[in-house]
Amino acid sequence: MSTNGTEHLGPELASALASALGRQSDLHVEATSRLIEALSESENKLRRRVEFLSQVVFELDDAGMLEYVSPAWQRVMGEDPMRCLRLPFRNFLREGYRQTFDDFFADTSRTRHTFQAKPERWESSWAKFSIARVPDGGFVGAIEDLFAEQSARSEIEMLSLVASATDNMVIITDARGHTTWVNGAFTRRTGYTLDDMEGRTPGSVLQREGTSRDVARVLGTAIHEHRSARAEILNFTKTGDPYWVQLQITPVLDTAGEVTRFVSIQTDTTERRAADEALRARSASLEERIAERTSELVAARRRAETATNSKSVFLANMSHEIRTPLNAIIGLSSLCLTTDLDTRQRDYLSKVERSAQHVLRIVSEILDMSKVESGVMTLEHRDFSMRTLLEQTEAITLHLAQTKGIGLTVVCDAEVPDFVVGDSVRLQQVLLNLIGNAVKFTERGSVDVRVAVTEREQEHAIVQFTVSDTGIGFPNEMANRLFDPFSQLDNSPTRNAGGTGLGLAISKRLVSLMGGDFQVKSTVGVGSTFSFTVDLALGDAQALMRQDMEKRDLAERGRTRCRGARILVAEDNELNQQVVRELLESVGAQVTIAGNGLEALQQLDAGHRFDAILMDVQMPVLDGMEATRSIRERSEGAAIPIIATTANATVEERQRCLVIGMNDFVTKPVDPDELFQVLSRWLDVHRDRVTPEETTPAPSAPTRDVSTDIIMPNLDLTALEKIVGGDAAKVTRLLGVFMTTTQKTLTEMDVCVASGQIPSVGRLAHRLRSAAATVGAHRIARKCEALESSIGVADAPARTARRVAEMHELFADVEREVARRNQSAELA
Amino acid sequence: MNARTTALLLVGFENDKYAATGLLRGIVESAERIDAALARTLRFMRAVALLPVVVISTPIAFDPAEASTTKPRGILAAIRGMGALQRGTWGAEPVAELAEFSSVITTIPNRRGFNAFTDTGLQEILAERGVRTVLIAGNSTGLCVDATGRTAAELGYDVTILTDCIYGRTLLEDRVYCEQIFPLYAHTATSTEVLDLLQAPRVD
Repeated sequence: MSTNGTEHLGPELASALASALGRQSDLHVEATSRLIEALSESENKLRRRVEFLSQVVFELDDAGMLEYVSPAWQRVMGEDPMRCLRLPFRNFLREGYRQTFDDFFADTSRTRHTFQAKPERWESSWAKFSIARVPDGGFVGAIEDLFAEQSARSEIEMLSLVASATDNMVIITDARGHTTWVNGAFTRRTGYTLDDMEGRTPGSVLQREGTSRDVARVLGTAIHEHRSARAEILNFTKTGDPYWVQLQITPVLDTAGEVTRFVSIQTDTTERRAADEALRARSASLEERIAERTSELVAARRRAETATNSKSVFLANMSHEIRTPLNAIIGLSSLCLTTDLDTRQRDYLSKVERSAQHVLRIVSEILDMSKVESGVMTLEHRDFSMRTLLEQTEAITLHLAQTKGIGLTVVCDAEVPDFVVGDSVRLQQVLLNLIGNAVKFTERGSVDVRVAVTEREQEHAIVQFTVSDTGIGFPNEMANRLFDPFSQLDNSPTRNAGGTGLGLAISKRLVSLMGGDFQVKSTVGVGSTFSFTVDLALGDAQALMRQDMEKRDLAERGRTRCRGARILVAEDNELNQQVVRELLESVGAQVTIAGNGLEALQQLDAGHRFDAILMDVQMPVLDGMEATRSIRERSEGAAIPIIATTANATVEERQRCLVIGMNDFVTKPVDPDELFQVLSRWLDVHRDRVTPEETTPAPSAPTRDVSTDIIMPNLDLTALEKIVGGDAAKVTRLLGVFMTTTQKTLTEMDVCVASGQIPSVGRLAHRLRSAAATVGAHRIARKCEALESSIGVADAPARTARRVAEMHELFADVEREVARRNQSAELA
Repeated sequence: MNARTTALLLVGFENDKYAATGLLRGIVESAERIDAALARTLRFMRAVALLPVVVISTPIAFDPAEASTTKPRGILAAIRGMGALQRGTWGAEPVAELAEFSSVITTIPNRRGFNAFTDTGLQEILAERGVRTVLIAGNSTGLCVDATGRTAAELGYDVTILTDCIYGRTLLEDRVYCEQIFPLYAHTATSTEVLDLLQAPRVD
């Protein structure tokens, strides 16, 4: 470092010296500045000249790299000029043409070289390259596009061929449109010879009253502007007969690109038009009728679609609205029933629970019906035990029968295979429906269930289920109506037995889905017999046992895994929150509740970490779908298992959840075993990965903040390092994710600014802000905040553009700091 | 580089030169360079504000009624003729973005020529603060920055021009000065490079 040479002078003298030096230098400074201005102007002038040329002008350095290309490069070579600088010139020649340049380049005795070659990017175009060696080093050159010249030449060749060989009429005119030549076909059709036509414009001879003025004007303008044109026009022969021609006028260019003449090729369309006219007249009435009918059909279809859609939406919504509170009622009642209660309380509460279960069943039926009707009902194919299924069914219904004082027998023939493959839940649903109905309509006697095989082959069997009762029966004409949705025996004294009237309709459709038939026989006052068949594949006993064991194990493992696990429950309904909290806390999980998607995000933003998130799909403020999307966009949210909880249990919903980035799905009301099975899958994977107590740090793993050695004004990694327990490699990885996503976000912002979508910039800034805050890029975070707040103001576009530009600057700084930090981390 | 003996000279940060509606903005080629240079200068200042670096601003302004002997000539006269940089007007006030540094900046208000050392007392302030190294940011490259830089060098200071925090009227001007003229008497470096030097651990 040099020292201040004026220190010894004393302050006053030094100041005087400074002023004197200053005044002296001003003149020199101004002189230099004026020289530079003159140089700028001269360079601009030169640049304007070069940039105006249709030829490319280029400059290469000693090594043959492009140092300068004029704007015509884009058109002639098909590449963005700025992207080509500093790249080898030879790369822009097609492979077969590079050698000629290489030879010239290597032979220093040659000063100039001109050759024709094809540019790398164009399929067919030729260009002429002229290159000169500059004595001081490097090369200058020009490229001329030969495409226009070639195409004009080939066009003339083609036209002469056409003109002599065709039956079409051909007229050639000079650049002003005056006829210079006509072919024989023209003379034959019109009666005009070249003598009649020469020196006159075709229009002035051939067009009369009846010719469309508009079409004639379009053709005249095209010729005037030296463009090609195509039209159909009415002309007249020498004897005054009208005829229609389809004509194509093409300008012919010379090598300089100037128009020298026009060629007009004309096809006689008189006959075709007459035929068309006749056909049009004939089909007009038919078309009208078709159009009328089509519009009727379209309207009918639209009405039908609207009706179906509103029904589906209504059902789905209703199902959601009812099932969510029911979930709470059933869950809380059963929790409450496990506590100390007196007899009366227990009785009331049991009734509450049972009633809720009943309502739930009705809702489920309605949902099932809509699923079956819309074709989205899919059956499971799992191994199950037929005898276990029948035992369970009997156990469920025996209580009902006993209460009414009637008998219930279930008999399964020995030939019925025990291990089968199918949808046991749906099969049981049908059986419960039939047995339930039978018990409901029988006052004395018994209900008998019999299961038999009607057909058995190597791999499958047709099994018949028959449910007979000694109840009131019904007249035969009622039999068919029974299976209609919402039909009930209105006059029946047991109408008050309740139900939706959907049970049989659903059962019949389910049986049909399972490849079977339904049959009904009944005699009033004697009883009814309902029977149905299903086609079942034969199963494997071991698979079934394994499956059962696995399920139980999974649920058990889930309970164990939950111990100490941090689980975020995003759920807007307070009661449901409580239910899930109790469930999870009962097995030792740490539960955090978020009332909506936004709160869930805030939990993550606040740096809280979770081993899993249970995400309600429908929530106010920010729903589960949106919340999941946001979480997945964050570096810290990419790996958290998100499990959807929804009462809207459709196949589409499940797919939507998975597509948006959720990992799994639990239906509400939540079944504890199912919940723990699902959790066991995800807690397993996740906790092995990030939970600190399960991570054994490598002995050499740096736990120290690697960045403390470097001053990073734009990046404060303290928080991030805390989150990953000081693991430098994780910090590097997370920073990598942040840099990539931010780069992407900035690009998106640029696009939005360029296309004027200012509010979108705000949303992007919102997204970037929390990520920036997480990695400690606080300046970017603050800039995002400023950006978000400036979206609504009057001069938003200009302000936003400026702030986005600043954001790029900030990001470039962060990028440098991250690079330096990563270097140090590597060294460490 | 020792932050304790370093001064950052801000040469000409007036509204007429930097603000979006400034009178002199229109004559600058690729005016987005102005915003970029300002953004980088501000960023540099935020880092510098944490260090013991002296920060001095030397705005230029013309008095409406000046004695004929001190009236500007040449380019300065042309600028005054445009009505730019008139004392007491918004155009001559420091650009708003500098406000956040008001407690850090020492302002020398009476510059009337290109050179920040001419009749301003700048040299006394630098001597008082024990400055040995001068960093220059501002505009325009070929006038005020060059004039001030040359004199600083002639007075014996170690001069560094912050090449990403200055701008001239044309791209050519910036290129020629940064590549050919500044190196005759000064170091040229970007603000980031200088920040690295200022923040580097130092053995005194």
